[in-house]
Amino acid sequence: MPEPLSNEQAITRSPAQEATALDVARRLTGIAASPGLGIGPAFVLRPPDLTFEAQTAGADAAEQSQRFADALAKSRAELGDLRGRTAQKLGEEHAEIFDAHLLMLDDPELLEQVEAGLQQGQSAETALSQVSDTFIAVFETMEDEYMRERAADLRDVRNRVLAHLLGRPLTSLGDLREPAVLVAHDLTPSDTAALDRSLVRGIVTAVGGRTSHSAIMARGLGLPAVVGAGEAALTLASGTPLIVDGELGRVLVEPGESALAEAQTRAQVYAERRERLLALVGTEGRTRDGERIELAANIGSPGDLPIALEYGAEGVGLYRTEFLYMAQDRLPTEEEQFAAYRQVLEGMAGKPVIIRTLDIGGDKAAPYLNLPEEENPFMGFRAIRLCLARPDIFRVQLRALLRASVYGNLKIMFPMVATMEEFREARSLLEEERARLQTEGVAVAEHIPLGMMIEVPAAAVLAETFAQEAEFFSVGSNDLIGYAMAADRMNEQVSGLYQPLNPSVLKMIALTCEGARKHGRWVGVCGEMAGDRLAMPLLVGMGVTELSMSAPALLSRREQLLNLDLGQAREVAAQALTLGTAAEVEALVHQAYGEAVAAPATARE
Amino acid sequence: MEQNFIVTDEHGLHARPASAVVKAATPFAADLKLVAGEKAVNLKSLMSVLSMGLTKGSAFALRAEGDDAQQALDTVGQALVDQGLAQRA
Repeated sequence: MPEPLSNEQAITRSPAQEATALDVARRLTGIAASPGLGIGPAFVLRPPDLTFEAQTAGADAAEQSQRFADALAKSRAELGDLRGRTAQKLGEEHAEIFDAHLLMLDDPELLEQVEAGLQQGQSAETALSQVSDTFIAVFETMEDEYMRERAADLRDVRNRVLAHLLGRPLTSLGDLREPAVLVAHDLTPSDTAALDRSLVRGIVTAVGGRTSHSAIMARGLGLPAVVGAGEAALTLASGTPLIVDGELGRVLVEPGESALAEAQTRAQVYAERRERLLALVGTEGRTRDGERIELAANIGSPGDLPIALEYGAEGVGLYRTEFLYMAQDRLPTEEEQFAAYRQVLEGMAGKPVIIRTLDIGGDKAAPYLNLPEEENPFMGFRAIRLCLARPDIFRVQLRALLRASVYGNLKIMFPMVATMEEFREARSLLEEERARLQTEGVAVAEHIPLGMMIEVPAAAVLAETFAQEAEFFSVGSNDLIGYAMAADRMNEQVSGLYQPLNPSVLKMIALTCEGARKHGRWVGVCGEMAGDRLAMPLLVGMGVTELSMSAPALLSRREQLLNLDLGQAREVAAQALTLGTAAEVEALVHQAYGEAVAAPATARE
Repeated sequence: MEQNFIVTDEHGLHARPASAVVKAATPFAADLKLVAGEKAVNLKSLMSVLSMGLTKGSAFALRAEGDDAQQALDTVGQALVDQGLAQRA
């Protein structure tokens, strides 16, 4: 699984980045939520202090009732105003959420329960908090992500009324008068509504993921955003110069002159590119000379689908099912898995979806499995090894996959395969479950292409043999590089050895492609290399025909691909394989493609 | 009186369209309930409606009692269909 690099590792990566890094006082790493580059002073939106002393008895009911009514009236007026402004700024569709807020404010059940609390002598603050927290708790336990988001809405409404009760007005984005980068714990729908698009240069939030409200709104507004940057973001002082890099998911704090100048150039280039790139959504990935290269998205849950589609994913090249296993403190049931797989297959509407079977163990733990501590987990009991040793767990997943197969274009792949026996054993478990389901009269797709990850060097070297039986390969470059170079990139003492462009790594991928070609199989790449501006031409030149990456990188790669000549890519790749060092390969790529890969806007760490 | 429905929206009875339904219900004098399984909640309360957590394919009924019950059922039922939330079962 790709892990964000820490500062130190980024510094060891390339001289260009070292220069940038030395020029920066500090940086924050988060999730790239909305692409683009934003430069400006921080405007830190601190959560208002809405703490109060709970009073559960003895308050004057009439007085509290009046206070509550006043706070409601003020909140109602504010919401009406927000609704109007949002409709103007973002359109009617975005404004509708405030209709829901207004309804929550006037909700008869909520008001009745608050009133009951007041009659018992509770203060208005106490009664409101208790009642709304009960509803929030209900929303938070719901399975549907859209429903869970309602907890955020209700919290927003509760805070608005509380702020009026306590006489502590919420810091409003309406106070923003100068261009700035917005820094917040998380943006509430009200915040976004008050946000002035012409002044906000970028968004940084402490919490949240790609599907959080802040991320979706940022993309809708076309603002660069990094979410989940950690609470450290809130320790920044307003006015601190920041650069938000929404493609790499990092925030540079107090950048020096050279970093700033570089960022300004990139920001301008980016703004121009954005328009061009968005026009590519819905087109097929092709090289300049028409060779078809499928550009797919990596996802971790059905919730990632809207973003994948937003960026024009032609399929899902890697669905990491382990998140299903890590989300709870127990194994997911067959039904839960079936529902998730089906949702992804239906969501992609016939486009290919490659689901990787459970890759747990190693760095990805599921405490409830009580796996033994290992000296060397990366070379230990994980992925297919664990699944074959625990068929009770594996069979449940295989059944769920088989049942889901009739709802779309499913391909299955096994992770960490090192030997032919492993692949065969996994396949026969799948066939057994297929036969069992068919006996039970359950529909299963007639043919489900069965492939494997190429992560273990043993499999790369023996790819030609594997290709007799595996129907496709997907190179998991992160692990392949780590195993090939015997270097853990999270260990800063050796992370410099983690070299994606090392000729030995490239040679393993070339071997994989040659082996596949001999048996008419195809090869994809689903590690970070697939989305890497420098690596991509080499991969295509070696014969990779599917690239699966995090969604925000898709459009940049699609454009790069359109400018790539397959003949030249083959020559460059062949030449790269004759070189001795990663630095030489990097120099070759720069020399061959010049501007096309030189712009650091999308260079990977 | 009652009328039966099945949720058709991908995301179940969720906030934005549910708001429209609650809004449609509010002006009526009739006592309006949303009934699913053992639970019956006030249809004029968005939070109660949302907290039912009805997902795609769930069956539920609208129950109305009072002077304008028939008219309320018709209006709210139509709102459910118009919002793409549910179909009459």
